[in-house]
Amino acid sequence: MSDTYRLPTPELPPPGLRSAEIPNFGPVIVPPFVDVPEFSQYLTPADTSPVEFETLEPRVTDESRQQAVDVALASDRTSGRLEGKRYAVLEVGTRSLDRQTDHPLVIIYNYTDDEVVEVTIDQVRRAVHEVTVENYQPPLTDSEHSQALELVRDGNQLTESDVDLSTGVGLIVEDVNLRSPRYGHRLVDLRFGPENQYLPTAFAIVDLSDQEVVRTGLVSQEGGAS
Amino acid sequence: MSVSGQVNWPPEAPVWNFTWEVNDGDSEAIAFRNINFRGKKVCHKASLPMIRVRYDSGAGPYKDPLSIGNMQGPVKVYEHNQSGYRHLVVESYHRIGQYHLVNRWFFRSDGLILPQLHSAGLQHPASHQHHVYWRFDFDIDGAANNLALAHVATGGNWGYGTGWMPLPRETWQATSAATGWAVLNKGTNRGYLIDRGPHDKPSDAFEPGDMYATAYHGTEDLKGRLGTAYSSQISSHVNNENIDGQDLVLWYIAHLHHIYHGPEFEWHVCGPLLWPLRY
Repeated sequence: MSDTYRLPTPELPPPGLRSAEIPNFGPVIVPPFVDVPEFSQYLTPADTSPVEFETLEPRVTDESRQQAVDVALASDRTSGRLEGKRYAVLEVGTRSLDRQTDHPLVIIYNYTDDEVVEVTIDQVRRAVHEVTVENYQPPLTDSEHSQALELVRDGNQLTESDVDLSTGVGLIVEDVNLRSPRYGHRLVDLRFGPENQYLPTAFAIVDLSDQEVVRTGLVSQEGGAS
Repeated sequence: MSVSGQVNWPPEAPVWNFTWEVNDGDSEAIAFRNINFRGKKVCHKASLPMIRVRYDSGAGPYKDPLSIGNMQGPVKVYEHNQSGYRHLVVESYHRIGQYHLVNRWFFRSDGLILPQLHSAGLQHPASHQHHVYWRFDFDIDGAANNLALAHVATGGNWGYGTGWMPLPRETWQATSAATGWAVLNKGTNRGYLIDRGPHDKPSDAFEPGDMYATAYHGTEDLKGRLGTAYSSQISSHVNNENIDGQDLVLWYIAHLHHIYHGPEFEWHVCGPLLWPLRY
């Protein structure tokens, strides 16, 4: 590389001076869509071979995660925030304090007040390092996804349209209209349809904060609002 | 369950060394740590902690978290040969809602890094824009003494070549102001130049930035927990702090536009080109 850049130090070449042939392996869609054309056969098969790597111990082990949840829920600092509230531990992530230090981070969602309680755990001391309350929407968990599907199933709206509810896949959406009764709520946008088809056929918006289905409908295959 | 590995490649004479990890509970896809090329440090960490999608139909918007929870199958680590170059490839495949997303990183044997996000599928039958945020915690020859530069269309020479303007303080830019960026170590003049990818579209009102440069703070590494569907909130880390000769973080944002014409074969890709300088 040093042979390529014989510029006076520290001068830089302009952007776009060099070009690269970026490998194109074609789409990864599993299972493949059956209702749109497939052109992968026109691509040259990629010349690949596996690379060995050393498996490492995770930064925070599964055992530490469970301990972190136990420590977080046993702490007065956490329980004081959650007393009388409907809540769930969504996940245990990691929090960086500096370049070397990562602590388990217990992420709890308070559905009563629609806020996230984040509890950072000191693994060495097995104690709560910090409790903060945040306003953001963490990713949808498997448990919440099941809850949302169950609420739709109980409502019967889509089953009358012969929608297979077991195909539902979800994403979190946010209502940012201050005047909306759903403002700040934990809302799930579910899409239904055979997974080998390009477009969903039906949708449901579910409010996990109020435990109710907001609306359902069929998705227009021609495009437009849904 | 979290997964992590150490790669030294190619095995007969390694030029790339790093660890990769996907941590349970974090949403930054594969996080690469301690990336070294030819024995010299490039990044403390590199990851993809945010994707935001805006639909013209008014549906959404969405923030798509790339996590181990929606990863399909294991992280793949393999070699690919093309046009005389060897590539180390590390990738994860995710399904989020209706989307099929491949987070694929190429580490070419000559030092070029190609982070690529491939997307297929639709949450709604409507035109939409993906905004893809890569976070590069550069440590060029170490954490200290790094400098970010922008290549500005107005010309000028600050001693780094025509158009290359040092960025002494935390800032953000769109490509209307700068066409490329670089991070150098001021002592060794080694560095990386960041070119926009061939498919990366211009920024828009939903995400006006193409690049954010911030000082490194461990507590600002939020691993997918920064931002909402409506705002990336990276600007909350831009406080005019001095980054000249400091440890810095550079965010690169690709904007991927999908114009919906009806059911069709579609497969989009975006991502920058990171070229080594004097490694």
